[in-house]
Amino acid sequence: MALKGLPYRNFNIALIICLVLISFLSLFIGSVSLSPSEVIAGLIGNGTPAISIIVVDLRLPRVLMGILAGATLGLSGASLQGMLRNPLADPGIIGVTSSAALGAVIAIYFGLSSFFPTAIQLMAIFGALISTAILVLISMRDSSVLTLILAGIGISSLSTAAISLTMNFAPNPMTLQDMIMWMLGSLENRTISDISISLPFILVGWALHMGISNGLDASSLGDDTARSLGIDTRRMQLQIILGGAISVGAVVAACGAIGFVGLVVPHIVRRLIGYAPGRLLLPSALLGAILLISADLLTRMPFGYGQLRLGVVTAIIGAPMFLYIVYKTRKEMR
Amino acid sequence: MNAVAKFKCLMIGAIFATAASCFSFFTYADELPKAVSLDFCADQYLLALADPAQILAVSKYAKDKNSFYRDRAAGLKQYGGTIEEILMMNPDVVLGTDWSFMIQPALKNYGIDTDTPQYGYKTDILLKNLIYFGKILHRNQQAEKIRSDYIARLSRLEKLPKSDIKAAYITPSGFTGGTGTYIDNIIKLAGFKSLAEENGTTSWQPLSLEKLIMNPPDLIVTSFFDQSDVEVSHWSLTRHPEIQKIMAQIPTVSIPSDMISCGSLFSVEIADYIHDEGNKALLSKDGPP
Amino acid sequence: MSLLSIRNLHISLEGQKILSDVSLDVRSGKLVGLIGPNGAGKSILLKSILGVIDKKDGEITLDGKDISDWPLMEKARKISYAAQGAPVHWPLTVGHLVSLGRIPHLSPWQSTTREDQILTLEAMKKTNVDHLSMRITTTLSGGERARVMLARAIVTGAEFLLADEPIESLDPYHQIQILNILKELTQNGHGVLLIIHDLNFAQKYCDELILLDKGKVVASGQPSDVLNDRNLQNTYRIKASRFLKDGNSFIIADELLNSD
Repeated sequence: MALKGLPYRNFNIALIICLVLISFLSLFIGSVSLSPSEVIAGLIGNGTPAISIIVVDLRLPRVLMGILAGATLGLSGASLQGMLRNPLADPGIIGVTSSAALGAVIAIYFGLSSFFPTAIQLMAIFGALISTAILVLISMRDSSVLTLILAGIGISSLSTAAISLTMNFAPNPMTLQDMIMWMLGSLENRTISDISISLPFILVGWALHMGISNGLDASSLGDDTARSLGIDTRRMQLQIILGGAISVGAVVAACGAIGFVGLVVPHIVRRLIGYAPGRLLLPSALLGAILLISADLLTRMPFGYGQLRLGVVTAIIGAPMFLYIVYKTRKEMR
Repeated sequence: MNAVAKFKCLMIGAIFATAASCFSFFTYADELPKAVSLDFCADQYLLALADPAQILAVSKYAKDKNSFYRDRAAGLKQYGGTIEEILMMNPDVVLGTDWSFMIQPALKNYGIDTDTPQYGYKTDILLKNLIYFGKILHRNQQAEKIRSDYIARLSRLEKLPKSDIKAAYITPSGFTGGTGTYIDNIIKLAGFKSLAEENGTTSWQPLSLEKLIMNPPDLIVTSFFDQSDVEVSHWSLTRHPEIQKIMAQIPTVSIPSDMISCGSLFSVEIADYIHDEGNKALLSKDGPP
Repeated sequence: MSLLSIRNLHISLEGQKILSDVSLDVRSGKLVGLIGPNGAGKSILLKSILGVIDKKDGEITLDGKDISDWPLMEKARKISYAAQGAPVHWPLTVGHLVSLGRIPHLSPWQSTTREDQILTLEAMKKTNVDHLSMRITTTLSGGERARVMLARAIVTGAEFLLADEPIESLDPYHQIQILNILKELTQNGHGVLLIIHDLNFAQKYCDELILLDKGKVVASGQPSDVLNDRNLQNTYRIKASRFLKDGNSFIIADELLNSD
């Protein structure tokens, strides 16, 4: 059966190739110009110590973190949109990333990380879970787009205000600069240990998203029909909520609240391979990683260095797209 | 006139002269314009140049540990920084810097003009500002005293042999001052080479970690590290373990916070400090250069 | 030969009794019509077979085994469901939508195989929508949509089909078309439980009728027995005329019964 749009498998393969290429390319770009041979030498351990540190300890973790974060945000955006049946759902818009950031900030600035090392990740995940739960409860009562967005605005505002409050009360004072970084997100100077602490949670979150593609597709027909097709929609929703909160929480704990990726990516993928929600999951993860690394690349270009922040780049691209999507779906908004 | 009359005249004359000089002594202080400083950095100018008797009040930060002239501020009145208080004090001179830029137009509405220093980070501007404020405060002598002292110190630094040591200013959170900043200028005054100039870094910028690794400085100049509450945060560029390793090996001079809190105001003090302490730090690492 | 059986089913929702002591059977090869006034509990009955609604009391068995003991996927392969109103939340293509009916035959990791696609095409041919396979479902007319939904329910290949008012809001041509397809299904061995409002169609197409009123089974059996004047008056509260043509009897609803 020819389904509208690009052939699915080929599309994913193309995305994977694209991702590998751009990740590789990112290793060659940075504030110090290195020749390709120097970069390769640094990668395989043949270069000078300085070059090895630059390539392996600075650039490589950054790229890896970008892949993990971008894939997580793309995946979570796609699954939330499928579950909530709403093209405007995204961890950022519905306030999940800000509440995760709040959790992380509380953990850091009240020194909880000295009690156990994964405190930051766990608090971020906890923050994410609470807001997701609130949103799902609200959405179950009233599934209109407007309600969802308003609830998300409420949660985001509350989290931002609470972060500001934490700034005042925390024993280790935070700077305004820090707060901005939490709300915008950044991949700068993320280390291998940042990645290794967040990685298990991210992988668990991804694992919970596996095997739900058919279920998401079936849920396009309504919960009762989905059930008649053998899908346990309750369990699927739980998987999406938990998987999203855990992986997004861990990403936010490492990189701050990067916004708009989960919103924009599924929208682009839909244009290319059609609207079936289950099919969007893998391509959204891949495209999310590609987009985030590309955005980060922009911030490392000579003209952008020190001036552009990752969160600003994603917002500059994502916010207009958000408005465009709102405009396009305004009929459903009523 | 007979001798007794002459003596009486002399006595009366002497008494008048003494009284007059006493009077004028008292009114000398009364003749000095009464001054108020609007902000923390204006405090420094005022405390450096003014006679304590002419100072109506200093800002609420004047006695902080970050205030260079906090000792001179002891015993002086502090005020909250509001327009009402200033109007009540009715000063002749109001000193302000960029730190109080918001209140200055408001004061103008009430007919109060603020005297501000000329902008610029080079030391000739600093000296000009000192003379200018000295004139306003009728304290030309004091201003000249400071100026000569600065010039002497600057020329001493000038005469010292230039070193090949590359120095860079790095804050705890990972910002660096490039060419065109006052701190870069000071580093050069202190006799060191500017790493920022070599790297082409201009203005205030977040540190390029890669450049730091490829071309590390021989000497790090930093500040605010003596304050325990400014920590390396989750976002600081200096949190990366590799960076910390590298920085730990480089001799470091930490500028006392009371010198650096007001930008280029204490350029000469800082230049001296960096020169002396910097060379000490380098010596203790490598042995004599 | 399969049997879907309901015995003494009681269901309450939010304190209200919806179904009382309902019993019925659906056998392979039979078209059973479920009729009754609005609000009688017909849709709820269908949903309780699916397991969407927890039953309070009674028994629902499929081939002798309690419905809740059937693993979800296996049950899905045996019973398919066409919901009332047929919502579609995303603008899917017709071809893709129909292929969703194959999900009970796929593992969670699998997407549709070549064979599934062939079966999808066949189901679409059966309901005459194969020429619409690339159309977006939101652009379909009412009749086209009903046929697409039916194709989706058929393609699963399940023995039983539960259809909730599949022909409401269709024009007469499409109504008959759908009913013919359902009849054909039963002739091929499937069992169909159909909620329907039109009494004449119910009479003509169904092998058995179940008349439900206020949650109780008022009458069940042959259409001509169930659709007698007394039942019509008591449950629908209408006076009806009958007339015969070509050996078929037709019911025309005349007027409301005054409560006197």
